[in-house]
Amino acid sequence: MMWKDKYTLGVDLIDKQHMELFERVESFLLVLRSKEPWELKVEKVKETLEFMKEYVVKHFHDEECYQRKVGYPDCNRHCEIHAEFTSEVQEFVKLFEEQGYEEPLVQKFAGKLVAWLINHVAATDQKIADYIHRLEVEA
Amino acid sequence: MTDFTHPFFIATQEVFRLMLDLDIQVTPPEQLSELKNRAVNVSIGIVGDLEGKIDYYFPESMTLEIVRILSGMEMNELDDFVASAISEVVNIISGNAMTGLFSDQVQCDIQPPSIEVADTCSNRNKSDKLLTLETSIGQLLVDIQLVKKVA
Repeated sequence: MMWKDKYTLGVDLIDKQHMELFERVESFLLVLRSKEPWELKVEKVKETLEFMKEYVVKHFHDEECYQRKVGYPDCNRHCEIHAEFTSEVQEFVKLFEEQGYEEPLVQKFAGKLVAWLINHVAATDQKIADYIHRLEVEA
Repeated sequence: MTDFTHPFFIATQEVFRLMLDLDIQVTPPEQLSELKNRAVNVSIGIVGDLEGKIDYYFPESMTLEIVRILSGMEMNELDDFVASAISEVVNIISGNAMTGLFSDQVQCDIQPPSIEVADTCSNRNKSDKLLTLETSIGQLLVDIQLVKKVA
């Protein structure tokens, strides 16, 4: 199980989206890491990647709107981090389109995705929770 | 003179705590028994005010355990998925260390990491900036090979 309670920010919409992302990544990994032949799992992999592509963009947008709403001071840097990751995902998508959904490339993408997502939610996004907590204490 | 090793220690400590729920301690270099033979070496280039590279050495078993903790799935071999995940962890540590250096007015950027399995790390480029670290899942070594850029 990838999700941990400590990742909760205390912002309902964002927490639900994070949990959905973690669930999707986990089910993607279960398919990707299964012993089935690649030909049998590639369609499921493509479906999940399509979902992730759209959902990550929506999630980043919602999270950035929330940061602006609460006046999060590091919003611009956080948006840059989102943009950098979106750009890296787009590079992988381009490679998938050019080279096909070859297993080594998809495995490489998945490894990066898992580590990036955990760091982003466990470290970078937690700074938003810290900021909100400080606001509540000061109120 | 700025201690270039400290930001790497802080960054490694933070990433291990936040991503893996693991504590790290400094251990004497002579006690790095797990790294005497075969090790996974993730190398990352540095450019800017400092130039050079950072080599991270992990025992293979520790590499698999790190990726198991991240993914929640058992890992049996150093395949493309494991190599990519551990490379990203090193990328994150090194990126955070650059932020630490920046707060000391040292501006650097990281380059994409490369990974290899070395039969031994005894022939590694031994610098005098070594971090020898111990965790509950194994030992790791961070070899910081940086020099100030000549103007």
